[in-house]
Amino acid sequence: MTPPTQGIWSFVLLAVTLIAAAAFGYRVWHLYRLLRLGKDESRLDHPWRRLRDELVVYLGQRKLIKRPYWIRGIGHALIFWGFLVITWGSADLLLRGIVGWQMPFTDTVWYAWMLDFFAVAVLASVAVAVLRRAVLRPARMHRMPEGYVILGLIGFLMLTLVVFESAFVASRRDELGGHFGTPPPLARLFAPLIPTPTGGALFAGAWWAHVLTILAFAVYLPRTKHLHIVTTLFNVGFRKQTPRGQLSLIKDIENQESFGAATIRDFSWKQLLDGYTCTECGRCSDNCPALATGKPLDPQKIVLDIRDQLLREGPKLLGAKLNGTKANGDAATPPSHWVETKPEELWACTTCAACVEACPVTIEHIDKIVDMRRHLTLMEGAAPPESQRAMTNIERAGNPWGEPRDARGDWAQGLEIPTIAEKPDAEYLYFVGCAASYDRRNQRVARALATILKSAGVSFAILGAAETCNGDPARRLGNEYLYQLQAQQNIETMNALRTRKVITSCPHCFNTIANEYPQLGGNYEVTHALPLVRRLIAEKRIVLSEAGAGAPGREATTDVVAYHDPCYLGRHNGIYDEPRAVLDAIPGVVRKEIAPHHRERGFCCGAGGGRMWMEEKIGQRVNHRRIEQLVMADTKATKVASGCPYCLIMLEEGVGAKGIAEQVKPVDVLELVAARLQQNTTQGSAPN
Amino acid sequence: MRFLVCLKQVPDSTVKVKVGAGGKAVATEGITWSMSPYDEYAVELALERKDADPTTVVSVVTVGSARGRDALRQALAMGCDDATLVNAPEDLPALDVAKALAAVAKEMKPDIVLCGKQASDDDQGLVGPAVAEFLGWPHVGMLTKAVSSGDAWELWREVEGGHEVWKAKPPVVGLVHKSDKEPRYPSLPGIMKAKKKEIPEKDLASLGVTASSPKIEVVAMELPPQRGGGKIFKLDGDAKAVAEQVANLLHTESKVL
Amino acid sequence: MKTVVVAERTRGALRRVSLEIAAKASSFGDTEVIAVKGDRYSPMAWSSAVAEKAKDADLILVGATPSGRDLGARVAAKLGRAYAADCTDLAAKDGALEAKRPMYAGKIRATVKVPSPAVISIRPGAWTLPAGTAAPQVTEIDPAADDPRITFDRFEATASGGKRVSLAEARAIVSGGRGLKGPENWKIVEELADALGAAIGASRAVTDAGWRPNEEQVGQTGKTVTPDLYVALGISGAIQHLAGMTSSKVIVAVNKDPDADIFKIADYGVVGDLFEFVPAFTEAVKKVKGTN
Repeated sequence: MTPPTQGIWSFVLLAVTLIAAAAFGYRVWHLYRLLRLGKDESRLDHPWRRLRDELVVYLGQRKLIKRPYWIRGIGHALIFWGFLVITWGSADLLLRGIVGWQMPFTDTVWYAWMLDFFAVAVLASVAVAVLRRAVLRPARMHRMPEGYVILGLIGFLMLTLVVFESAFVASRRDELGGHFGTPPPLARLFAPLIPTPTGGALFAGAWWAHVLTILAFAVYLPRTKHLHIVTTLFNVGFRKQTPRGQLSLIKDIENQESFGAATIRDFSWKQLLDGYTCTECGRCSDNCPALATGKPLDPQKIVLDIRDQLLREGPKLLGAKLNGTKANGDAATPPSHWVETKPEELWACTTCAACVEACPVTIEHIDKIVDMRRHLTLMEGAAPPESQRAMTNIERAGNPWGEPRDARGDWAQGLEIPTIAEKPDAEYLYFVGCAASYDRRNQRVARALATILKSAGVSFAILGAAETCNGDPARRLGNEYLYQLQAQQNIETMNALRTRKVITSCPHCFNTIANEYPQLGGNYEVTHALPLVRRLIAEKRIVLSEAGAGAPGREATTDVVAYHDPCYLGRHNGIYDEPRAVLDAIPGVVRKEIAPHHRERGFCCGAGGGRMWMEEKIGQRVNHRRIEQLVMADTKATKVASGCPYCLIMLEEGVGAKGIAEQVKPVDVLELVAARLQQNTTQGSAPN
Repeated sequence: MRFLVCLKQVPDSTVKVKVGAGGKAVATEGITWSMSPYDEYAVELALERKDADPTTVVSVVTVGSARGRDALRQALAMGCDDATLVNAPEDLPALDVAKALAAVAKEMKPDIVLCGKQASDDDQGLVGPAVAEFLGWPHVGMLTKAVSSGDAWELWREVEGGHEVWKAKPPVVGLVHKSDKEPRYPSLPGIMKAKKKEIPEKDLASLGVTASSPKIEVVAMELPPQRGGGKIFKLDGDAKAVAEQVANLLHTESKVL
Repeated sequence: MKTVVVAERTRGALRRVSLEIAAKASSFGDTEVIAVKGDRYSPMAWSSAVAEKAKDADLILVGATPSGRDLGARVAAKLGRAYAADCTDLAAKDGALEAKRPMYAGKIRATVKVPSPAVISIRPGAWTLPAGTAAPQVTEIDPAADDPRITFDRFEATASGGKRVSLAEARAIVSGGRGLKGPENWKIVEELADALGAAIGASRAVTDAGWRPNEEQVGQTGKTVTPDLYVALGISGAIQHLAGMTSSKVIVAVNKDPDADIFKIADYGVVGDLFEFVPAFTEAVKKVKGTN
């Protein structure tokens, strides 16, 4: 295709292109400098995983296309892939128009077909997107006009593309004869509609319109949320490759002067990049249990607050830098806490990771929230008073309830469970955790696990009074210092043991010991009890029967069991299948799902992130909503099972509050297993 | 305005107390110690005044073994300005402890001396009123709130059904009770600063105090009967009989009625 | 042993604890019961008057009420006497006194030797008042001159109209849980609390449901309480509640579920319908309090 840029016109195009490039470049440079206001952080570990993520998440659009967003996701993917193909063509147009060069493959038939396929697909997707915005009006899209402009530009690009292609073919009808050789398919279709004499003018007009639109787009793009087309490339590439459940470590904490994030300068450049990348799609907010139950927290707002703050105050900070005034320019940012994000938003988070899971562009919400909590807790001593009581208790008694440290192993009395001091060659250490040590309800779970392990002949021991809180509540409450003290104490104890194998029955203990203790030099082979029990069943080391053996003459019963995914087992650690496999392996248990809020979309019980230790005064209680979902799922379940002591406590409270305690009994999966053990060696562990 | 808060380091309230080998003291091996809870409320009450008026100085003092240093550091971490340790044997009679505290107060000249209403180890509640007596100052017990009004202070004393509000011109001694304002959790910079802060020491001789007052002596200690062996009654029609039985037990057996 | 009992009055009448002490005190020897005129305790004026009057006594006994303990301590300091607070029993032994008293917030029962002369405060209810005991002869003494540096200004009643003590200082607490089924049923809780002279508490479920105000919540995220008597009505005993009240000295639990965890820490448990039990219990409490 010969471009309509002979002679002077190629210089005009060159000039326009340079102006657009300068406008684009200036903006990008500005944004980059703002980004550099953030703290340094290295995100270059695991290069191959980063490459894989670029292919799968960025190019493959994997996080967009998933339930319940199938249709929107596919629409987006079509526009995105179309954008890539068409950008190739746009570069070709500019090259040819200015210097007469061309991009590879643009003359091939298959590229022509691909271009036209995407032109149609993109047009259709744009139409759907416009209709959705106009008719359905999604609540969380704040910038509707901007969306229309972008969609209009994209649509106009596609139309002009088809028009100039067709007009070109029509204008050359004479040269090409009756058939048009192998012009693009759409041109072949539409060219006959265009009279040859008008073809030339129409071609030139549409071509220039198309090219100028591309350039306008390039200028407009970095000034809108649609910058995400570019930033997502980097945001995905620099995403956290450490476990999702691992928070950042404050190194050498005793010698630092400030902690956490109070101003934009306290976030890392990657946290700020998250702000540039947010597309305001609202999926994080859609899935947030706090927002759903009327709390002031909106995860999207947290991210946008950071971005808006950066765009508003960043230039002042840069200015301060240039003028040689104190480089950190603290004067520009509110000293203690900034205007947009209020403490009550931060304290409402359960760190359930529903937002992180839902975000298509790999934004890391929890890390920001905890960073800001760190500031409140460590710098200002401003954690909610009830949570301070839990922290004081952890500090002094090694558990958040303030139960005696000495009484930690009391639950095991009379069960012939050795401490590791008594049995130093045990294969496994069972790290019991505070809830199973002190909460009478959860002690039954600990006993159930002990029964199972004994039945399987697994050699294990507990720490007894030498165990202390793993530190998770403190860390999630922003008290990194208390967390590190607890963790170091446990690590010191555990590093002195012969075994490196650790079992936990609590997903929070599991997450912290498996994912966070390595930061402090504690490296163990950690398993949550349910994957282990699954293996024991598969290896036939325990045998289950419908009646069990614990109660002679007991009749075989069928339990309909709905499974509730604990956040720190599921979303944080990807353990979805093992607990289900265990349930499926229990004779007399029929497993049900709390659809659609299950697996990756499981809904929090409300106790994570230190919420267990805070009042919940605003809106509906999260666990009550969870029970409503259970009822709505209409599973006819007689039990609701989970694998987490917090979930168990919250579900117990929830069924009581909702008045269905008689119909649905919350249990731990381990209790169901223990009740149906064929060789039940220990009594006193039979659950309800 | 200057506060002097008197502290005591005691076995933490979460500790499962056990009787030690001699049967006359609790076992202290490996236990956690912390500032006595009412003392924490006293520190909080003083620091609240400091929040309202940053020129306020809050000093803390303890009399006893070097272990008391940790209570002082805790108070410094919470935001107190300076701390003094008076070295003394642990079995110093309470009235002599009060004399030492009064001597420190005479040197420091605080406007208000605060003590927890009792220490949670011996639960006596003697030292506070005794400090006031030896200073010759008035005192207010069961204090939950202190509000400055002009050159006087409104001191809120909790009594059944409400508060008596007393107006006092400093100097005065307050014996602090629990209130709704829970003691603050220290900030990390506060903890770090407190760790590095120098804590001057004094000895009894320099304060002119000798162990001379009468003292009480523990001759035996025992644990109350263990929880869990409770009496369970089943209601099967005759609620009145069960109710009377429980009420009588509360009166004769556990003596709380 | 020359003994002086400092009696305490509320609204003109001698307090029960003063009667209990007076009845028992004669067993220690020559006893005089005194009371300071006036109905508002004032530490300076009262302690001076009592110290002056009782300076020759071998034993000064006061009730271990908040005012009694306050007075006793200051009198002991004034006279340089040995002092033991909150005693549950007292006996003369080998020229000294031997007292039983709780220490470590009630986690220890100690026997202490108190050299005479001494000031001792006796816990209410420690000594039962024998039926038909005659009221003691009381010597009225004048308080010393008020200290000009401190004056009583006013009384501020608590929100409940001054009727009930606050949770923090209550010696008895009656708490209601979800088992009460609705806020309209709190009348029986209030009646029992009135009979016991108790404060009213609630479980988190109840305050969350809005049945009761937040400040009544007892538990991990509410108030931590340590009364002598805690009555849990329709509370199952989730750890979040237990964390706030397990240190209570005596726990009474009423619940219809025999497996409820609250029974594992209760000293007296009643399995059954609380709506049947509580009114009967209220009457029984009134009876015990009235006749003894």
